[in-house]
Amino acid sequence: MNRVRQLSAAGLLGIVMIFELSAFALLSLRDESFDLMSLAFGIGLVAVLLIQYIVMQWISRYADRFILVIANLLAAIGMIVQYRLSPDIAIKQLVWFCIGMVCMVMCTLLMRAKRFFRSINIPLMILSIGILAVLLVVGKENGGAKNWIIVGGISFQPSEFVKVALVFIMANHFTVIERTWDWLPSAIFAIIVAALLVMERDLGAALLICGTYLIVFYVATGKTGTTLIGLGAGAIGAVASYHLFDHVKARVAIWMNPWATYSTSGYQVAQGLMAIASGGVMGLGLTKGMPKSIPAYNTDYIFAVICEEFGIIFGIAVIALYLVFIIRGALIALNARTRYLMLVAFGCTVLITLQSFIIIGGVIKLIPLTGITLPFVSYGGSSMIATMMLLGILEGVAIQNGEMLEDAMDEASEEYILQ
Amino acid sequence: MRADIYSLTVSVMRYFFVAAIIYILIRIVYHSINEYNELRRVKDWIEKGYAKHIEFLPPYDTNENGFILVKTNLIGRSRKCDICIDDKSVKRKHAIIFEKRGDVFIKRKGLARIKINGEQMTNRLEELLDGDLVQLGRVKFYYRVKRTSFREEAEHE
Repeated sequence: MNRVRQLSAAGLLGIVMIFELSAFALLSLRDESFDLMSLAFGIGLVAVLLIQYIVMQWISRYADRFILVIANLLAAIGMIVQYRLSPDIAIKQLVWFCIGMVCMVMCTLLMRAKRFFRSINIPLMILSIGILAVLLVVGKENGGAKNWIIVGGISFQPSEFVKVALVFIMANHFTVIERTWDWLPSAIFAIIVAALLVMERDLGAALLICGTYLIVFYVATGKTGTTLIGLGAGAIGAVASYHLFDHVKARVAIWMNPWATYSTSGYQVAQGLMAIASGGVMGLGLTKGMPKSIPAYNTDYIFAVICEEFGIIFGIAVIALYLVFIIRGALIALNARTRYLMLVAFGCTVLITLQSFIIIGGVIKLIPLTGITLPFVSYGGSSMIATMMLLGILEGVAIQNGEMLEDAMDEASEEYILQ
Repeated sequence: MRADIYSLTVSVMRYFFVAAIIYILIRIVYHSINEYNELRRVKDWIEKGYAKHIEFLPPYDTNENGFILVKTNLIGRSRKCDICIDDKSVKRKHAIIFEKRGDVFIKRKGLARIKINGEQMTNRLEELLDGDLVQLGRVKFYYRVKRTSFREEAEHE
């Protein structure tokens, strides 16, 4: 059996752990008395990361280690900031992270069942639209968006899971394109989902789903004209929703000039900008900032908190990590065995990175702010689980790539030697 | 006083955090480039039919096809090795065969003993040439370079 050498990422994971432990050591000393709890939390997180790495190695030697390290680093940064803001939320986040890891491993293993996700395409579509339609009636409002559902005392955000379903639905419809009818159902699905999300005031998710759909559509079909029409339709939809919905209008007004309405609606954006500015190039230092003055500091605005306490260079490095994530995800997609797997891997990559772009762009006032979580970093159970599922799917594709290459090498060496 | 020390520590640690994340970033990019080049080489070999490989002699020819060498190959008894030999006379990590600028070298791990064409290897590092017989413990294999593929020859005939 031939094997392609896999570079070990254990050293990098070690640095992630040192990084994370030293941050928790700082946090444990912050109140002039030694706080054992935060150090214990840090050690617990180290244990979780180690178990995750070992389990992924055990599943296959071809699991993409570097994507795993990037995700772990981002999650560790998120956990540090969450703990610094409020230990209770950080503990909940750690629990969600563990559940997310179980889901990730399950997704990785499910990718081995080659036709499983293709066979449940129509149930996925009906379920996604159904659950979003139900939300319109029974959804709970939280932070301006009516997109929460409470099951047994735990609140979920179904739109996060609809994103995972979208990846498979797109890949299934784009695999074979001979007639327009082959891809049209997925377009109708994306439009219905986006419309439902706009009605629920979850603008970030709507933007994310439309954007992802257009990018993957262009990659899959290469039809420039249709993609431009789609882009135009999206623009018309955006303008229409600007005129139809007051909350869209308010968001754009805040984006144009947050200082005009500083005391009321522009407060969040203005505070975020001031936090980033006060951090400066090197940051104020962990525990030295005032992040709690920003609304939604542990979910949407976590990037501003990171910039305030760790500095702008650190913030740029976080953005760069997402960029490296795109490159590695795209490489997995390019090496994929089948077109279906290629589209699945590419969809996951686009979804995670476009989401980070939308929220970071909103926080630094590059585009109008739409509430959405920063993948791996923000607090949010549904978001964490959904992102880890996407990561698991990517790993599943990467494992199949490695096994395929191994087979090809075996076959090639057979040819050389048997002659 | 303690608060002062803490503040100082925090402001010093800022530099550590920035340095750590940038180091991780650079390492990931560096490894990604290496891995990408490696994959491209392997695919090239598979397509063009140009391969450096090793062929084990019986009774260790379990693979029956030999092993194509990649840029760095760790050979030994451990399951972590790229080329894993199940024999007690082979150390857990016995040798590394690697390629540098087109030439292939074999390197001993620790005090492992290696014979090349029947002669005990005295240097740490030795270049391998086409047809060399290498012996690790009781296990023997040939190092071979094949420049034309089976497919092309079949077409030629």
